Amino acid sequence: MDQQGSVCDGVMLLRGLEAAAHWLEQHVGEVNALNVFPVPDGDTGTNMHLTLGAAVKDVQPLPSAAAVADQVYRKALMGARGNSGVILSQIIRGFAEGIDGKAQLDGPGLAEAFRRAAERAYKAVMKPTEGTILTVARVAGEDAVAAAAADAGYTQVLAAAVAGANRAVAETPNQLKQLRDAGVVDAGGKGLAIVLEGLLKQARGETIERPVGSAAVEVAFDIDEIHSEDDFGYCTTFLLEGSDIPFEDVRAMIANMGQSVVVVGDETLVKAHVHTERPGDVLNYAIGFGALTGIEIANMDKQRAAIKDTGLVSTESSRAPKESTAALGGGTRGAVVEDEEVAPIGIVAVAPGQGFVDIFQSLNVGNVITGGQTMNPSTKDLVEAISQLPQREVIVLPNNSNILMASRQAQELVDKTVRIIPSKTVPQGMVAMLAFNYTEDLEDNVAAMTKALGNVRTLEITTAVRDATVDDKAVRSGQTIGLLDGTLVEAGDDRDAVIDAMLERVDMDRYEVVTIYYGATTDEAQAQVLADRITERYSHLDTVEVQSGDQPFYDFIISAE
Amino acid sequence: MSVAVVVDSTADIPQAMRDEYAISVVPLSIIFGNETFQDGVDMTSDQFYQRLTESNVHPSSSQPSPGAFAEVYERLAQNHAGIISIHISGKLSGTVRSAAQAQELVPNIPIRVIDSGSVSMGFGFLGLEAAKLARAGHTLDDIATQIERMVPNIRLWAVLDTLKYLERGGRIGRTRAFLGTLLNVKPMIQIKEEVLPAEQVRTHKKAIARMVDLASAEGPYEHLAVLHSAAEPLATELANQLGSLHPRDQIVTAQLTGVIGVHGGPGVLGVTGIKKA
Repeated sequence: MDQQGSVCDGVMLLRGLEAAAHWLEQHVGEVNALNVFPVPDGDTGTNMHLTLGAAVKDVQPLPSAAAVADQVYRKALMGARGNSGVILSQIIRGFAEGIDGKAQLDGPGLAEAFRRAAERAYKAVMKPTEGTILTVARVAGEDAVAAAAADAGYTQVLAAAVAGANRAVAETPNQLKQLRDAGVVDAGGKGLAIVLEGLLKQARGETIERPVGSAAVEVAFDIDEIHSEDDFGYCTTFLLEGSDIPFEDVRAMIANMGQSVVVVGDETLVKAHVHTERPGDVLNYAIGFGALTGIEIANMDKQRAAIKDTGLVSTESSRAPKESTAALGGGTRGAVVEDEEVAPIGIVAVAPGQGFVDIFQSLNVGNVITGGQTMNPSTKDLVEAISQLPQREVIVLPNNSNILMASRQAQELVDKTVRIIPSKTVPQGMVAMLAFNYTEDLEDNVAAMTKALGNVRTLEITTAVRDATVDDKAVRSGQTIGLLDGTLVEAGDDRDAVIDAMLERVDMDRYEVVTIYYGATTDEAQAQVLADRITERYSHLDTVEVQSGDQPFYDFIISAE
Repeated sequence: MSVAVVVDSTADIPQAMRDEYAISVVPLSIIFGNETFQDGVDMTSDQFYQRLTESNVHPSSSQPSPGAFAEVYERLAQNHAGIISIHISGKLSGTVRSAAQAQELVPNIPIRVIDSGSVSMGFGFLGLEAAKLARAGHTLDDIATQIERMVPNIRLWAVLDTLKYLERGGRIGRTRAFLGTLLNVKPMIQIKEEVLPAEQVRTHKKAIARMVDLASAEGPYEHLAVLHSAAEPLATELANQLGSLHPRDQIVTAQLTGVIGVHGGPGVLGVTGIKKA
């Protein structure tokens, strides 16, 4: 930028975006807290921060604004996580397209870039909703265009965009009932406003540092150096974020809970690695001190067996944590089935735990990405998983509504014929996979698998991570909550009562098979007790099956099909 | 003099139809330990499945010898102008090769040996069609041409209770894709020359629904049959549900013969048909 702040070149643009990423990082907790639903799922602030962080990482500081924006948007598309991250990446893409080759951005140039950014945002979603990040992007663009028409320079236009964004954010509760009910503003919109604010602060000469202690890279360690030949049980890693974490106590406690223990960090952020037979116990202990992210649980016994059987290394968990984004965001991949003859169409699935990974692999899913709840894989993770398969035709099972957009983005970035089955839960992905027909072509399979999604009901049992009001029902943090096909329908202090009420909501007479997938926070014995209760109550059922899902946070994921 | 029709015992043509159309059947063998039985001759399907569930010995099967075919061909040569001999897929059994060798041993009559690429009534219907054409006075070449044209129109899907028998019998082929599934599922297969994996279902009710869907998508059919191994009530249910695809009273119910039971095990349920050209 020049002395008067009237134009911005490539280097300045990059410094501005880096500042924006740092500013967003400082506000991740604030944005996450705006989530309306009290479920421990991929948080908006975390996803947007990881997306923007990936977008500015290793960008060459070229003099041309267009050359920098071009690099940034490509990285943003690949680094996008969660639906909010994907929309942010499309905003960045539109911004880059709006620069249209210009080496320097003046007021009108910036305004045009913002206008195009908003256009891209609206195109990114199938049914645009007002009162979201889309509205914030649009109002920011409109105000920028108005300021530019009044001869404002770069910084003044940016200031107008920030003012517009903040005004739009404040308006979101008037546009969306669920925000009004919850008494919050839209999280994605707020995230975007913070990004623009970061850009403006840098343009005005303020320095924004990365928040102390919160960068995962600063508490990273090399898992390869920790692992040894005689590893057993579950390799468990996670990040714990809080305010007054008794670090030494936590380290001592976790050290007593398993082998190969490494715990680093401070009172605000702890990164832990432990080999344990009971990963759920470790997570249950840690969650008492704050919020958990980047949870990865890998069954080392199974991995070793897989390596022995196939000669393939079954996951990349040993290398993923080297990168802070991977450590935070998941992205573990399973063994690639190199058997084109057996499966002429390749399948990629996202699964939130080792148990689900094993089941999908046993159903010949070629590549399973560990992720889902709390750790949405990036577009890049999906692109790589699709690319690794030997098949030219690939079907993706996202198994989570917050991974759908990243899957669609990956579809556009790979040079293969990719179809996405819009599975919103893991059981939906499971029935879709059972319906996969080895003798049918891609289109027939997509039709049959998509149709199969309607044959299953998904009951998810977890714990509320915040107080919330959903559909006039007050939910307190710590209560058991039940989601039916992704919608929160029950909450209460007694888990059994919540499960029973959930089952009552399902017309069980229509279903024959119930499968209970128990998570890392519970165990097989508890699942069996539940299975026995269901068998007794619904005697018409053909099968009531108990399986290990190993999913974090969700005690049980139950399917009725 | 008319053309004679020969099939092997895996065609599963019900006895009444075989008698009506004078179709000759060459049996394969079922071997339980030291005992050998002629499939469908000295061991009926019912006896086989009874024994399969009671015996610890896993049975095996073997194709008829060229001599067994030659004997039948010689007998038919006495009062027929030609023989059409239709058999189980050459990728699943050596039967069709035994028949081809027998053809050379019996040079005094024209014989056409046809690999159906299928099993059970999938090619049993070809035997019936050939017999009808023979009765109408068609020549051997004409009958063979028409039957060969029907081969690509055969469809066969089946759901197995387990892959155990296919694996033991070495016929697992590409259905190895279904091995090791951690969920409690039933594999559904398609037979097209070999055993192909189709999809997986969790209950017989769903298996029936899916087979009706798959069969309907390929219909209409000249002939349709439901197949089963010791699972007649399920076969009846399947036939009832296929009623909208094909006249219910024309859907044949066939129990899989012991030789197929050796590889499919008990509890197999299937549907097969000849698509209308």
